[in-house]
Amino acid sequence: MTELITFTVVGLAIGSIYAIASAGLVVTYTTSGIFNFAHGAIGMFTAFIYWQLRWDEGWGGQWPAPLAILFVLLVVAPIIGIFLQLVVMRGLEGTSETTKLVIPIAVMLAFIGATNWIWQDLESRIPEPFFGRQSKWSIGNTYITTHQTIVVAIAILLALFLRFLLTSTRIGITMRAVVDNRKLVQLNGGRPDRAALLSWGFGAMMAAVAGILISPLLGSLNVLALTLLVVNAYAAAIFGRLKNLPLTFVGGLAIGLSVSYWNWISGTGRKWPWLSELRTTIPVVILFAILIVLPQERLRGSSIEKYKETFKVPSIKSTAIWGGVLVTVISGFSLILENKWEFSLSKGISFGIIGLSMVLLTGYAGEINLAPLAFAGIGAITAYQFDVGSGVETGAGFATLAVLLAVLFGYLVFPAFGINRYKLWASISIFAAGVFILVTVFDGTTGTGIASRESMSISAFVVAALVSGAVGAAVALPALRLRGLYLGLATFAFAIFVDKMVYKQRRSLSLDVPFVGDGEDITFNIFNNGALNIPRPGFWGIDFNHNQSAMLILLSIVFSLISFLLVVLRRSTYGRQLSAMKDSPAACATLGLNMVKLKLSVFTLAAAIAGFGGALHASNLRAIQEDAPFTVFEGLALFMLTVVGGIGYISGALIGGILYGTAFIVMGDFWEKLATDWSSFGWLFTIIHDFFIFVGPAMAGIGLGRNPNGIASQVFDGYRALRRREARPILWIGTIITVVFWSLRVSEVIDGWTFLLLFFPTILLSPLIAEAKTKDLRQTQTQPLELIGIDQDFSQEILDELNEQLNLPATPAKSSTES
Amino acid sequence: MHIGGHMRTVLKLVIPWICLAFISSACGGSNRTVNEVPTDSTASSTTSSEDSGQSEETVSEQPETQEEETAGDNETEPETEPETQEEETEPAYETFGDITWPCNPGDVSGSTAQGVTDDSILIGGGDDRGFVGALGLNITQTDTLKAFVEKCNSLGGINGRQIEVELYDAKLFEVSAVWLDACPRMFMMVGEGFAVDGFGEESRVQCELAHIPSWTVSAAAAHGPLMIQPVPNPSDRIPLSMAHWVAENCPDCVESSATMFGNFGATIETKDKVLASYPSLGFEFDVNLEYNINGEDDWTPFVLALKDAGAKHVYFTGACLPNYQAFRATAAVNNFQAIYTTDANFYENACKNANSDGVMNNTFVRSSFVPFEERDYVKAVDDYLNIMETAGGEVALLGMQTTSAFMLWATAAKACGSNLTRQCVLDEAAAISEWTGGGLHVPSDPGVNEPPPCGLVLELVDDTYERIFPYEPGTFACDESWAASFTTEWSEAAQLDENRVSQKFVTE
Repeated sequence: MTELITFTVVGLAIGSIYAIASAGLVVTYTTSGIFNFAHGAIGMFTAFIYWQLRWDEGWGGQWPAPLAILFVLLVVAPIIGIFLQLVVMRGLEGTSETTKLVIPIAVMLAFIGATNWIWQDLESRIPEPFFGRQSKWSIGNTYITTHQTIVVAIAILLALFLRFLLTSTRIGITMRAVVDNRKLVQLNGGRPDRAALLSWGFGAMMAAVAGILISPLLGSLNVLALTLLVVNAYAAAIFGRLKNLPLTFVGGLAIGLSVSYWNWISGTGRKWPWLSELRTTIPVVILFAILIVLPQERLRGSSIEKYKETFKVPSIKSTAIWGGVLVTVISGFSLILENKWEFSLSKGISFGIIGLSMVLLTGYAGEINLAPLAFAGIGAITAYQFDVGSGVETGAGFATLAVLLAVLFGYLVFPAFGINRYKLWASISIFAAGVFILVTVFDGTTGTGIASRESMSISAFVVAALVSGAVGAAVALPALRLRGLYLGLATFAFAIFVDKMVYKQRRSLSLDVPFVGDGEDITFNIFNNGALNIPRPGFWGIDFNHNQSAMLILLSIVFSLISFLLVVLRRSTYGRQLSAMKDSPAACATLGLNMVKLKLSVFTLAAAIAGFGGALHASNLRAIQEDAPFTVFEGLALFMLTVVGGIGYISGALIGGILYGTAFIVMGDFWEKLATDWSSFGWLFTIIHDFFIFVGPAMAGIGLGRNPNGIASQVFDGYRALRRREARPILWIGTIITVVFWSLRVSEVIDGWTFLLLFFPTILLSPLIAEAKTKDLRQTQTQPLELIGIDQDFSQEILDELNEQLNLPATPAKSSTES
Repeated sequence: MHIGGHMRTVLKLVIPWICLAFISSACGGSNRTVNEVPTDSTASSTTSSEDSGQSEETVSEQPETQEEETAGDNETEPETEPETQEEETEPAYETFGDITWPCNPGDVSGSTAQGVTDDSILIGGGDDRGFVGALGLNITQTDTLKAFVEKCNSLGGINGRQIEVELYDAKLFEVSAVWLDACPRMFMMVGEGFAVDGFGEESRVQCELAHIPSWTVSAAAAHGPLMIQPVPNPSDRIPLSMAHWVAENCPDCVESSATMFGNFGATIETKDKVLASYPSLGFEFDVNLEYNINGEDDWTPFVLALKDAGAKHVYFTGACLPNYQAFRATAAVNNFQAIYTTDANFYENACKNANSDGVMNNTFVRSSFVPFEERDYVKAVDDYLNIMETAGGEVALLGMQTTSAFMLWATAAKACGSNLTRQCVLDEAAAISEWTGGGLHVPSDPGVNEPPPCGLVLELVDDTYERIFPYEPGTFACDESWAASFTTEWSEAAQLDENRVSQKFVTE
């Protein structure tokens, strides 16, 4: 009985905090339609401010508690909420679901970065519970702290207050009305915008209450833990279907209690060691379950014209050419880059490969996956366990498993390419046989389980892709009918699940493939020894271990190949089906497309690419461990930057990857070096440096609102001039100059800085010169009208010119025709 | 990883690693005579150089004549005394603790190895100071290295070769990049410590860069080839000093012990070491509780589990703040009493300052370094603090560890004389059979990669640390029987050969 009371009290206290946090989420979502991923981060940020005012001994500190609380709740939090709505969120009207997800994610990362920036030293920041640590009372033998009591009381008061606000005040009624029908509110003279502002203010306030209440329970302020704790509240918000406040409160309490009771039942995780991390995972498991059980969302029938984003599909030929160019350029760079920078660039490109999975899934098919790195991590772990993991007893069992996975993969993916009936089974057989041969004959892993430790076999990469693909299918299957935000949350839950239950899994896992071998065929222990040291591939006598250039070039070749295949895919029937599904699921279903198969196949394929890329990435890094590099937050950041790069484009993936893996680090180093070299301006460079490393990526994400098509399309637009026939000489001259500079650098006539100083102006100026030049040409020599448009697309400019020449009325300008 | 988001967490994740480093320090050598306790250096801080004589075991030979060609190249602080030395007939070498500074002018020459020229030696140091989640992480290591290199150069360098030092920043996960940059240029890496050294060890071993790190974390690095540590931290040894102390002072505790450990590799390895060794003294661990290293939102379930099991002694591995403090506060609320043993990472200012209400009393900290409070008794500690006060920079236990690593390297490099090669430095360092870093820590035998069976125990009493075993300031207790050896899955994963050197990344 004592224990029951104890665990109930603990659960109620935590549950109350979840309830408060999720109520804030719901309030903002209902009025603005934006799921505020940054909610937890706002709570975290305000908890830091509260600590600064209340507890810090330095600047601003030592305010009395009521004053500090009131200041944070009534001044700081509302300002944050209103600022966000005015500056960031309001611009999201009319953007796609992807953008609506990415911008709040960027805001979240910005808060995290800013907090790390402002409170950067290593001091422990300890907020004490209300009325001190020892203040308590008891029921029987159970002690209840005053803080816990206060938490529950505040939750009840807030619930009552919200109920009063929403039912009995004018503004509350307006807020509810906005949820039901925005336009009707406007017609009736209501002000939906003001209601949205208020709701963001309220939302931020609730986040702050949650943050202030929970931080003393955690012991000290911890950026990540505080942010993630509010993530636990997502499940409660979804339980209330993002609009029902009473249900949300119930959901929050239920989550708190289930965590607490699970602690009780499992003896804080000791009883079933392989489930020990479930303690921290229950909220996201509940989130996933609720998302799946929720009543089905109606298929969206809207058309794409509503959105600001448009992506053009490149031709197969140009993809091949650009792939070649990429490999050539990277090879050229590999001759002049130092090892360290090559390593950095390799990271960027391998992130780019993982990014390609998002291009397929999100860019082409419109399905959101916030767990790209979870699949990548699974791929990396699989490759390791298959190839080098000494715990894996491979042999017949493993070969059978690989074949089964191959069959599954074929069954899921091949029909999408129009392969059906006997052809399907024939091709599956061939594929499976191929995998079997690869795994048994070309590998040598079979039997011992330990291949050569010095290199990773190709079959390991294939198996990584297969396993990751199978996991992708398994995740997609229950989530098939989810779209947009809900799918994003489901995959986010999956990412957290993988973070805790897989990466932190310490028990040996065993798997028995039926009918094959004897006993357990596969046994492995994921991060048993701290870090997995992943070997690099090795073939044709190339030493990828010692030769970073080789690895870099290999990665760029792989990137080009996969990109090429993706574009071929995009241009096939299958690709058009994906595109149709993205535009209008309802129309697709009406036309008789099998959406289930389509979704399942694209998820499988994308997960397989991510797994493959993850294995390559890990092998480039040479080591992975439980907290790096495939974690939730890294995954969110990569997703965000890929969207920034332009998620509809192959090049968007490359840009996103390089931004993430290379650019911000290089920028950081660059400004740091300037700060040390020019110490008189050191403070300035330090600020710039800090800006780049702390909030740079997040700012890039927030800036996305300005150009939802991403950087890639801007780059294309910039260089369009160079593609004109008249600009050919400039293109050639630019190329030759670049090659000359490059050769000078290779032969070490000039140093790295000089090369950069010569290289960048050439690259940046040539399109400008071309632009100017073609304008001149256009004015002097007029092209015969009938030839216009043969060697280039009809741009608005050309159309205007044609109209002018032909004396036709001007065509209305189409809104932002793509790149 | 540049996204700040990830990682203030790792602050906490790192602390346990650091603790490992200290544990290592608490771990000790094998074949050592029982009695030695470096009480000899208890001279008060005012006496500066009275004991230059006793350093013969560590410093092989002292050049009797000292040449005065150092004039140009050192930007000397006032405390260096080339001219006073000139006047004295018997050159009074400046000492660091109980050893003579291994730095002096000389006329060695030759580019005997990569990074070595006629008049300079290029070495690298490093930390994780640029990690966005915790800017300045372990910066004490590079601060210390910089200060000591400066000091050494002002005394004439290593046999006349000035030391040039490059201070790397691994930013936690960029360890590989550090090694890739250091490999083709550095003579050696000295006094560095990277929290995620497992990420770089393969690169280091493959490019065969030797180092004398302050500390190591992963088993593969702790047993790495071409490596010598001032205070070894192997994955298969631990000194039982704390266990003995508990057994003696709380006999009841032995049979009702418990562990609490964070759900993170390094803390789990530490716990596994304890579980593998303490039972040899009769310890019975009834409950082993894994907590979330990112923080628990309520510690009551843990307290109840300990209460149910009737635990009287809890070994806690992880960070003092906030997890341990929050846990102890909950224990206090629920009236749970026990004694708590912890590792050296609990010796930190923030920890004791946070305990002004005494909620963490009854915490016993195992250490192998002389605490700063005893600077009046141990000259080396005083010297360390003086040098850091002059040069500026963060003072911390890890800094003393770096000091010891640097002094070990410098001593060995000096002994190599003109023929300065990596192998020679490693050999000379390994040849030293008793190393205390001038008196900073328990006597270790760096060449053997075993922790000395020595230690001291501090108790956290309100906002102070009180030495409780052995009582005499500046001393350690040693006992041959405190050496414990064992294997865990961690040490097995490092694939040790018969000399206990990890073969994991050795390709030939």
